[in-house]
Amino acid sequence: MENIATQFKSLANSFSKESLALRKEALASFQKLGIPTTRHEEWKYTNIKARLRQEFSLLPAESRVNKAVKNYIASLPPYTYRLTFLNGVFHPELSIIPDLKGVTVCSLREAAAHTGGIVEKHFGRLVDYSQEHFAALNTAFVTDGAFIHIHKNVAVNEPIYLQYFFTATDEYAFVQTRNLVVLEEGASLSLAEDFRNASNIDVQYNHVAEMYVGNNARLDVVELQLEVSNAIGIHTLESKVNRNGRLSAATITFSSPNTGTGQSLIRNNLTARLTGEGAHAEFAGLYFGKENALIDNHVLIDHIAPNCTSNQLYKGVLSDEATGVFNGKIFVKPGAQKTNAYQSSKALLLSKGASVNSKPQLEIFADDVKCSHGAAIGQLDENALFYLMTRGVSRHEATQILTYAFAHEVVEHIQTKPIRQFLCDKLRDELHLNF
Amino acid sequence: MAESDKIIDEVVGSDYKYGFVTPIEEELAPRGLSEDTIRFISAKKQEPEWMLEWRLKAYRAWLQMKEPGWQNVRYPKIDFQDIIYYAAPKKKKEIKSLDDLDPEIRATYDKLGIPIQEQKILAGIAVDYVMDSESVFTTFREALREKGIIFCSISEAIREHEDLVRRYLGTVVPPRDNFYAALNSAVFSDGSFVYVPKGVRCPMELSTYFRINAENSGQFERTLIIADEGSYVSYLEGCTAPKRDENQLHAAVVELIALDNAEIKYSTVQNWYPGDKEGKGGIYNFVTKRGLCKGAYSKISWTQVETGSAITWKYPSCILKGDHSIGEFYSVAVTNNHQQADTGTKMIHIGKNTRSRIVSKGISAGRSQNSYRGLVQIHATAENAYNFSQCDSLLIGDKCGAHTFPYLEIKNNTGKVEHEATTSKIGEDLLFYCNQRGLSDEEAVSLIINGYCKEVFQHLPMEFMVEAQKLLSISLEGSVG
Repeated sequence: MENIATQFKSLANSFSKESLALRKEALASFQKLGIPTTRHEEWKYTNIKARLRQEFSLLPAESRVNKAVKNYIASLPPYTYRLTFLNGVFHPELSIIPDLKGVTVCSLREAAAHTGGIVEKHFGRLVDYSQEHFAALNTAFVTDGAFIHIHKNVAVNEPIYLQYFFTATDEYAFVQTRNLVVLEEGASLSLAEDFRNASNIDVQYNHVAEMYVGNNARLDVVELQLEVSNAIGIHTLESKVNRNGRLSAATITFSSPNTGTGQSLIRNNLTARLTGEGAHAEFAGLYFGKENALIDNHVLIDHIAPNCTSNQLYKGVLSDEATGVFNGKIFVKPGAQKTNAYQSSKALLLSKGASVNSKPQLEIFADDVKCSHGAAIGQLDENALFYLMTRGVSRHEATQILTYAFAHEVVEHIQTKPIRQFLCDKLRDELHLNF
Repeated sequence: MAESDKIIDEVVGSDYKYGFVTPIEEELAPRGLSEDTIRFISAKKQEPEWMLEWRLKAYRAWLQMKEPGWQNVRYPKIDFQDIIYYAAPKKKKEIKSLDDLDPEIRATYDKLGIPIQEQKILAGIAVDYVMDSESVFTTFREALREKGIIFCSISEAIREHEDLVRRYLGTVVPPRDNFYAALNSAVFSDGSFVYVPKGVRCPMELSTYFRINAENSGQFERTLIIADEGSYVSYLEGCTAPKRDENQLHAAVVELIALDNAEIKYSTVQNWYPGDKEGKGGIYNFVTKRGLCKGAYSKISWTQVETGSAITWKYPSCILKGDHSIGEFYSVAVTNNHQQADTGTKMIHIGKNTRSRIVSKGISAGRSQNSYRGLVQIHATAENAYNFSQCDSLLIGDKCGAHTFPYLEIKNNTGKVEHEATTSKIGEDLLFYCNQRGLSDEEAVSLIINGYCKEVFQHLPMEFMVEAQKLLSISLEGSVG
C-alpha cells in the first residue's frame, strides 16, 4: 500500500483544498480496509480481490477522444442535456450544459472552486468511507466528476445524462468517477448515468455518487450499464431522502458478449436513507448475465424516520456460466414506526452453468411496521411455454417472449419516458424480438 | 392503547415458572479443560481406546480453532477453563421400577408436570430421562428390544454397540465442523443413541428429557440417531432447567442418519432458563444439529419450539444427498426480556429431485432480539430440486428486534426456490375483528398467536403440542391466555 500513499501525494492538490483533510481520512481508512476478500460478509459471493489487478494505477488515465466515443455520441438521440466524462475527466466540448435559472450543472472540480460551501457541505458526507472499501478509495482519489444543484422549487423538465466513457489503454488503470447531486426543497430532476467501455481492453472503474433529496423533492435516477462487458465496475450510490421526498432509482445491467480476456464483474451498492417523515424510495433492477459475467446488486434501504415507505423490485436473467448476486436489506431503525417496506427479487436461470446467490434480509427494530420480502429463483413456467407453443410459436421464441415479459416489469418502473422507451427497444433487440 | 401497554407489561413481567434446583449429590470432574479432563471423562465412561483417541483428536483440533463471532448475538466471553466438564448423579444402584428412583428426581418429575407413570400408561412413551449427563432411567426398553430397536445412552452404545457408533459417529457433524462441535466431540458426557433396523417402524415416540442440573456444569450432549432402510422413528427432546445466576453453556451435537426410504422426525421443545428480567444468567444454547438423508427417498423433519435460553444459536440442518430425499424444518422461536435467538436451518440439496420446506415463526417481545438465519443451497448435481421457505416475524413492543438473514445459493437451472418473509405486529384490524366478536384484547392476542404458530405446532406429536402451547403461554404470559 506504499504505492497508494505515493499516488495520493501526486494527486493531493488536483482537487479542492477544503476537502484535503477529508480525503486524507478516507485514504487512511482505505489503507486500513484494503481490498475486501470473500471472508468479508458483503463480498462473500464476489471475489473482487482475485479480479482486480493488484498493482492498479489511480493516476488519471489519458483521456483522448477515440473513434468509439465519437461514433457512440453520434448514434445517440439528440439529448437536451449531457455531461461527458472520459476516464473520469470532464469534456465540455462533448457536453451540453443546461442554462436554466436555479440550476447549477458543472464539473465537480469547478463547483468546489466557485460555488462556495455547497460542495464542502455535501461532499463525502453520505458515503461511509470508514467502512466502505471502495467509497474510501474513491473519496481519497477524487479528481473530478459531475455536480448538479437544483434550487428550491425548480423542476428540470428534460432529463440530464451523465455519460461515462472508459477509453483507457493501460489495463492497470483503476478509474475513479464521482458525482454529487443536491436537490433543494421541492426540486425535481430526472437523471441518467450511462457507463460504457469504449476501449478494446478490460477496464476497471469505481464510481461513487452522493445524492441529496430535499423536502418534497423528487429525483429519478437510471443507471445504465449496457456496454460494460469487459469491465470490472463498482458503483456506489448513496442517497438521503428528506421529508416527503421521493427517490426512484433503477439499475439496468446487460453483459453483452465478452471480447476481453477476463471476467466481467459489475457490483452495485445502492443505499437510500429515509431521514424525513413520509419519504419514499423505489429501487428497481434488471440484469442480464451472459458468459462468465458476475453481476452483483447490493441494496440497502435504511428507514430512519417514521411513516416512510419503500419498494424494491429486482429481476435477473442468467445464462451460460453467468452468476447473479443479490443482497437486499431493509433496515428499520428504532422509532421508525409505520414503516411500510417491500422487496421482491426474482431470477431466471436459463442454462446449466448459471447460478445465483441471493440474500434478502430484514432487520427490524420497531414494532408497528409492515415489512416483507419475497425471493424466487427458477425457470420459465412450462405451462406458459406450452401455451405459446400450441399457438405455433417455437420453443426458443416462446422463451424469448416470456423472458421479455419477465424483464419488462422492471423497465415499466422507469419514470423517465425517453429512457423507458430506449430500454424497451434495447430489450427487444437483446432478445431478438421484432414486435 | 393502554390495554396493549398492559399486555406488554405483563409479557415482560412474567417469571420463569420451572426454576428450581434438585439437590442431588454429584460426581464432578475438576474445573477446566485439558487432555487430563478428557482422559478422566473417558475413563469414567469406561470407553474403548479408539474413543479416547477420537476425543483427544477433536480436542487438539479445537485448540487450533477460533470462537466464531459472526452470529447476531452478544454475550460476554466464555471462560472455557471455568467450566466443569463432567457431572453425573451419584447413583449406581440398578433401577427396576419407578419406586427405586431417587425421591428428589421423582419430585422433579412432578414439578415438571410430567408424571412418568401416567405417561407410561397413557402415552406409551419410553422416557430416557437425562439428569445432567448420565442416563438414569430408561423405560420400555424391552418392548423396543423385541423390535430390534436400540434406544440407550450413547455411553452404553459406545460400550455395547461399538460397530454402529464407530461407523456413524462424526459422519454428519465431523469433529472439526465448528468450534462448538469440536468442543463437544472432545468432552461430550452423555446423550442418546437410537438405531432402528431395516423395515421397522418404531411403535412409540422416543422421548428424552434433558435437564441441566449441576451448578457450573456445561452440558455436552451427543445424540446419534440412525434409521436403517425403510424404517421410521419419531424422537422427542424436551428441556426445562432450574434457575441460577451464572451463565451456562450448552453445546450439544445431534446427528441423524436416514438410509434408503427411512424417515426421522425430530421434535424439540426447549425451555431452559432464559435469565431474569435484566438479562442476568440464563443458558447459552449453542447447538449443532444436522441430519443426513443418505439414502434415496429418505426424509428428515425437524420441528422445534424454542422459548427458553438466554441465547439460542442453532441451525438444525438437512443434507439431502439421496435422490428424492426430503428435508423439513418447522420452527417457533419466542424471545422475551433480554433473550437473543439466532436460529434457522440449512437445506443442502445434493441429490436429484430433492425437496425441502422451511416454515419459521419468530415472536419477539420485551428487549429481545430474534433472528432467522437460513441457507438453501442447490448444488449443480441437484436436478429438479425444490425449496419453499416462509419466515414470519411478529413484534410485540417497540424495544425488540426481528431479523431475517436468508442465504439462497442456486447452482442448477432446474432448481426452484421460493422464499417469503414478513415482519409486522399484530394488526389492529385483526384485534378489532376479535373484539367485535366479543373477545377481550388478551383473548384475541392469544388466539392470533396460536393461529400464527399453528402451522408449526401441528407438526409436533400430540403430547408435545400440549406442552408447546403451555410453554408459549409462560413465555408470553399476558398475551396468551
